[in-house]
Amino acid sequence: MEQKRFANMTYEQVIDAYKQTVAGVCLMRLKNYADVEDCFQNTFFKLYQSCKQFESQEHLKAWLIRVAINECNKLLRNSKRLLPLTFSSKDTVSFPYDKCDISWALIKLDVKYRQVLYLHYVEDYQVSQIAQILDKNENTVKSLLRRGREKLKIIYTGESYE
Amino acid sequence: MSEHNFNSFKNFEVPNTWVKKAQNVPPQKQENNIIPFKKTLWVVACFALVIALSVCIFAFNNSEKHVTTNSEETKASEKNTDNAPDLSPAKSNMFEVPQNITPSYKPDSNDPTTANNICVGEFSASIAVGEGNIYCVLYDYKTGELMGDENLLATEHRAKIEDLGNGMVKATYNPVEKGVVKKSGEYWYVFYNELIMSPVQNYIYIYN
Repeated sequence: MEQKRFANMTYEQVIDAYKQTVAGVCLMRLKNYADVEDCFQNTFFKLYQSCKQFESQEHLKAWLIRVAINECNKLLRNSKRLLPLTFSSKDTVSFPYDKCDISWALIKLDVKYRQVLYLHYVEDYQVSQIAQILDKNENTVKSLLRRGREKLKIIYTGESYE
Repeated sequence: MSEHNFNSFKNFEVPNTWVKKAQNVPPQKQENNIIPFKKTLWVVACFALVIALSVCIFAFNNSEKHVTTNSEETKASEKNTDNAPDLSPAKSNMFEVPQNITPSYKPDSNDPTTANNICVGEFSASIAVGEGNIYCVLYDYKTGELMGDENLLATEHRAKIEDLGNGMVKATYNPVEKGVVKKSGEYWYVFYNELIMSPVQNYIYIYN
């Protein structure tokens, strides 16, 4: 059986190339390792089942991020789990407090700010690209970025890690 | 923000078990020729909608044919009337001429008070319906032949009405003046309303 190819990459090559991206998006959205793993699997399964033709690797990456976000939303809708603000459980995702690495502060933000800040600062996407991925207006993305930065600053300057 | 970073996300080590599980796509998920469930639902829904529309159009067309047929019948019947309500022409045997009646009298042609050729009937005013017209028709007493127009609501059959008060009316009808009866003889007359309901019937001898 001929191996499927996605943007001239085999399925295994795609997983190798974008596992960090997909896992990061799921971590940013879910904060529970079991759920992160489920969404990670489902995202790549969706890719395997899809017959979509990708114009480029960038197109493929953006598609994977979009699907990962959708899978996380679906899981949250079904399980009705709330994003915990504390890291007491062993199963929950935790990032250590650090003055420079403010990942711990990012996951405290509201999801609408968290998503845009993550895509901008972690995945290095521009406003127009973020708007396409999240299917939002560019002005909305700019506004969310601006307000997200303000709120993030309040968190990492004002709060102490417990 | 330049002094800050999100290295925890960037440096997150994806467990090998996750990668291996993702690589081992379950056999059933490798099938890409199974029509997705949602698409199937859409196809079925569209198909059902098409069938429902077809049934509605078919039913509508059939009801139109009924309306068309009824209106055609109405038009056909309207052509047969001459300024009269829409009733199909009554036949000569609409009212049965009773047989074996012995006339109570035979007017004397020499007595002008009796030989006036006027059919008379008195009845309740409630018998008048529609436009309130009362009609009179004559039949040959021996043959039962109807005199005049077969349309019982033709104007030549229209009688004169006189209100007697106390809820009663008197109808009179001269068939000789109307040109309905042309020869002397025994006749049977019937007064009736627009519903062809007869309040009065009687024998008359016409002199002409």
